[in-house]
Amino acid sequence: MKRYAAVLIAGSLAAALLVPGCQRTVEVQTGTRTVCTAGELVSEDIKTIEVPVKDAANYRVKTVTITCDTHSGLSKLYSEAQAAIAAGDLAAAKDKLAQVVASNPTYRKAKQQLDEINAGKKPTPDTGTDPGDDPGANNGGSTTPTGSTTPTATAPSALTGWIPGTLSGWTAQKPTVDALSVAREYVPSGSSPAINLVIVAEQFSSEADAKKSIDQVVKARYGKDAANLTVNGHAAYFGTDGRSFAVIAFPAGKVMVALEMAAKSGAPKALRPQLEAAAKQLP
Amino acid sequence: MKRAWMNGLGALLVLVAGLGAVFVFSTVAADEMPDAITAGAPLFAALVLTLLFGGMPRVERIRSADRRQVTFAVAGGIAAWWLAPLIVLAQRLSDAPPGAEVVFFTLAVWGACLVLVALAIRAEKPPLTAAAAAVASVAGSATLLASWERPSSFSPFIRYAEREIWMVVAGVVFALGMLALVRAVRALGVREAAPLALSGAAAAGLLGMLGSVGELRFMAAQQWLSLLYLGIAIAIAFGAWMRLLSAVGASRAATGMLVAPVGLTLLTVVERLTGIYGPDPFEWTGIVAGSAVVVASSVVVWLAVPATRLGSSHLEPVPGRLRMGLASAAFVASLASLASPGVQATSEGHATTPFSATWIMVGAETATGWLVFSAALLVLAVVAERASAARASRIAALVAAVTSGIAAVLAAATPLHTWTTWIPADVQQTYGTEYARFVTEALVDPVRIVALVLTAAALVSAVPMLVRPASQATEEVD
Repeated sequence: MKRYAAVLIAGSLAAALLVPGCQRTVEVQTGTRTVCTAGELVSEDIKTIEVPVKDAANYRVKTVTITCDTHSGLSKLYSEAQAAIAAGDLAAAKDKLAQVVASNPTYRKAKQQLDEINAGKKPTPDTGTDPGDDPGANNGGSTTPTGSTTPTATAPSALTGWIPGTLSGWTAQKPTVDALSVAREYVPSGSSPAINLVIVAEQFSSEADAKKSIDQVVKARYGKDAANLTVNGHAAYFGTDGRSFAVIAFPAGKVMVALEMAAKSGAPKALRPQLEAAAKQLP
Repeated sequence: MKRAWMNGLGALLVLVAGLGAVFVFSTVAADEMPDAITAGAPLFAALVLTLLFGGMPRVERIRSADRRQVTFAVAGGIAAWWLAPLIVLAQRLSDAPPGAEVVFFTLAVWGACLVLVALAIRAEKPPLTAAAAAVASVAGSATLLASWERPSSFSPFIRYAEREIWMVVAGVVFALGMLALVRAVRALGVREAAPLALSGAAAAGLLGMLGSVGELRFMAAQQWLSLLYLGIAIAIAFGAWMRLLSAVGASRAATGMLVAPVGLTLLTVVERLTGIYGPDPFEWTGIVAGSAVVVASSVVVWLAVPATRLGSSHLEPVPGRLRMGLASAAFVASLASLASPGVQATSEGHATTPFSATWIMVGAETATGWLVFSAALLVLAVVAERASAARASRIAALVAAVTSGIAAVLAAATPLHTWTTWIPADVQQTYGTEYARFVTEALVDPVRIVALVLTAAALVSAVPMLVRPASQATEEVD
């Protein structure tokens, strides 16, 4: 009986160890995703293919950042509007800014300037030349510019608007900018129960995906002290990790915005007023 | 009898606590000082404490003892308490391999090594059920440790394969040392064998530290408290080991090592609840399933008295052909399920150039694969066991098989490694952040279902064997 059991075990183990030795394959994604500097997806040519595992690392999805025709036109209109403001021709500026806002309400300072003109004020011209131009900005390094339009290595303006250079009560640090996401840390400019504040804005291909990311990622990590609130018209979520961190997150169109604050005291729930105050300063 | 049993259980609990403390303090010390000092210096503190609390050895008894037994005690002490830990320390960097893997290799695997190596020693030979249970306990520990956090850093034999193979080698050295020690303990008694063993280990430790004399002075001044704590922990673990070796033998004493990962998990639960350290997030399903298998299997090892201690009157009935056929078929199917699809894994990273891969991990790479294997192995061992095992241990083995089967279902999506050799490191290094993710999804595998069904059938067919009196050593025909 023992011999039978020993032969059974040895034979079976040998067979079980030999079978997994056969070459394994893996499904990988490969291709190119083209995004506009304004944050929108221009085109996507991504395939899933099956390759041997040893070759898997060679297949990646290349992200190309270009300024698409639409946003290139917006840029031109916006520049002309700035020139008109500088020349004092507010009627022309209003016309061009209205066209910009109609196409993209969050395009740089177009909405703000238009509101100022409508209120009878003369806005200050925006001297920046590129969307998302920020002295501290850096490119995540993942872009490979191609295409007929001028490639840029800057952040999409639809995202950079969520990490302003000035935030009352906070001192902005150098932002981290990538093609589809931006983040910026802020440290308190005075006494505060928080150690710091980090704002992250991430571009998704649809509004539903942005909402899903809050449901699946933010709520999973910050599931304690959960509450729903409204911030500047956005339906937002407040939660903590129960130990140190509190967050307010909301979808803004295809963008998911999250403000995360670290508590000094270990009572993150108490950070809600500070988080709300910071969130209300955003667009 | 009841008192002896309680004493044994008490020593077992002390051993688990001692092993946990040795792991924690050696982890702290390993970061701070040379391996030779960490392995050697605490042995002197342990020796002093052993002499203080265990009593001075009776010199006359040692003088009159067989030289071979004295040699076994000294050599066993050197191998198990200096050389084996030194091999492990030499393989440890600050967090490489990660703690979960070190716990796995130096506690669960070492415990199984002791039981399996004891199979080759006639006087200590455990029943087949104990060997099968030791393997099942290792599978349970792997499930448990792979669930300490998600994504888990537990990926044995992937990133630090060579270092971990050395830890297994150290486990064999430890087992051989402990088997030499148990022989000396039986011949000389604990009071004589224990100081001899620790003296041998301390002497070897002293020789090992000669190359670190300069550092020793500095370390003694800076880190003496860490070394003292480690020495106290070693003294506690060593004392409990000696007590258990004397009372129940080597293979049953190995229960302490097998169950230690559960003890350390309880410690990490406390750490997590107090919010200081500890893995986060715990995967509770895997933790509970793995712990249940470890405990159920360890009970089998604890109850499995070596054949030589029961005598020939405890021969069990020869299993019928149907019963043996079912158990064998279940075992073969469980082995086949190790090579069949286990979980579907997805790795995605977008910290740099986006990467996305989806592939199938086979049963051998998953908790469920090894738990199904363990269940089938336990049932096969119960059915094939002829000589010996006490009925209680065989019943416990069937309970452990049921536990493994249930755990296999509960931990169906638990992979036994997160790291993979062929995925770009920049993706794997960012797992758990917003830049990368590694997720698994359980697959329904017909081979595994067949293995579970056959195991259940074999288990049911084995129950009547355990109902009959053990003394009926008769041929049985189904």
